[in-house]
Amino acid sequence: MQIQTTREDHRIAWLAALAVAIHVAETVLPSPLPGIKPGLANVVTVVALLRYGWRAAAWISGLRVLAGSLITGTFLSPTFLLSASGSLCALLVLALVHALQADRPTERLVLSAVGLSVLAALAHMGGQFLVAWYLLIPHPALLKLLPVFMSFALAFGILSGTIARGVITRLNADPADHPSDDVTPQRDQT
Amino acid sequence: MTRADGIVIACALGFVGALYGQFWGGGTSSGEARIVAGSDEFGRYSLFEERRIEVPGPAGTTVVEVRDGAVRCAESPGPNRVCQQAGWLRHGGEMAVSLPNRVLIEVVAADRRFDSVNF
Repeated sequence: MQIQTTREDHRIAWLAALAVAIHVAETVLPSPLPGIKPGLANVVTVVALLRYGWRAAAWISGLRVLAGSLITGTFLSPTFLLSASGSLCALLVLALVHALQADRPTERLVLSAVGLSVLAALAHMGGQFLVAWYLLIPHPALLKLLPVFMSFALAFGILSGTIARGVITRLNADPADHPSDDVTPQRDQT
Repeated sequence: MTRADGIVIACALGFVGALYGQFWGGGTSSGEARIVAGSDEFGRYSLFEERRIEVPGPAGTTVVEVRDGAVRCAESPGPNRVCQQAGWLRHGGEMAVSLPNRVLIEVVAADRRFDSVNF
């Protein structure tokens, strides 16, 4: 039996593999607090969202969380729970913003990868913090850490957004790569 | 970066700043200092009326100073000067204690953040 795969399937698989590689590579980085990491895998999600649409971004994010946890051995552990809830929140926010601005790409108030990344990072941190607080450590002292977590989320959101913007600019400049079979129109990143 | 990005980042900065204010800020003062001597309340004083209060205790006299919305233990007979080292108390819930003289000075909090404090 052979499963018929489309070009989009392959693209998602490639991008998800890239995101998983970044995700796993980041887990070996030392971190001042559990839960703080650069989240550069989100670059792939945001680039995919802007170029290939929300469906591709959701697939890539979901596959990254699942495969990343299997590789690092945290599947179904609290770490996985936090990662999954954070990614889900980030995806929901991205979907919301994307839906709001999808039909008017020429307006001035349109978020580029930077704004999207910042929102996604804050949503990711907020989501995983709430889960950590409600399910894992329901202690009011944990709330004292929220400003610190959110500061890191903001800084890393700006960082990964800037990277994503650079990636998109280069991809757009490359004539060989065009997201032709796409529902979402390509948008100028300025 | 688009203008919308700038707005989002500015809002995010404000949000994070507000979080620091919310979770790291000192307790809101009710503008009143409370002094407890022994097991009884010695008195309550407005933080905005400058005054010196002498509180007698078993070890001597603790001098409490109130000025500019803050209160401090100016003098106390305790040899380790623990009471004086608490400094000016300004935020709700902050307190200075002289154990030898059995005196407790605290800024009454608008919203009580602690049920009790153990030393």
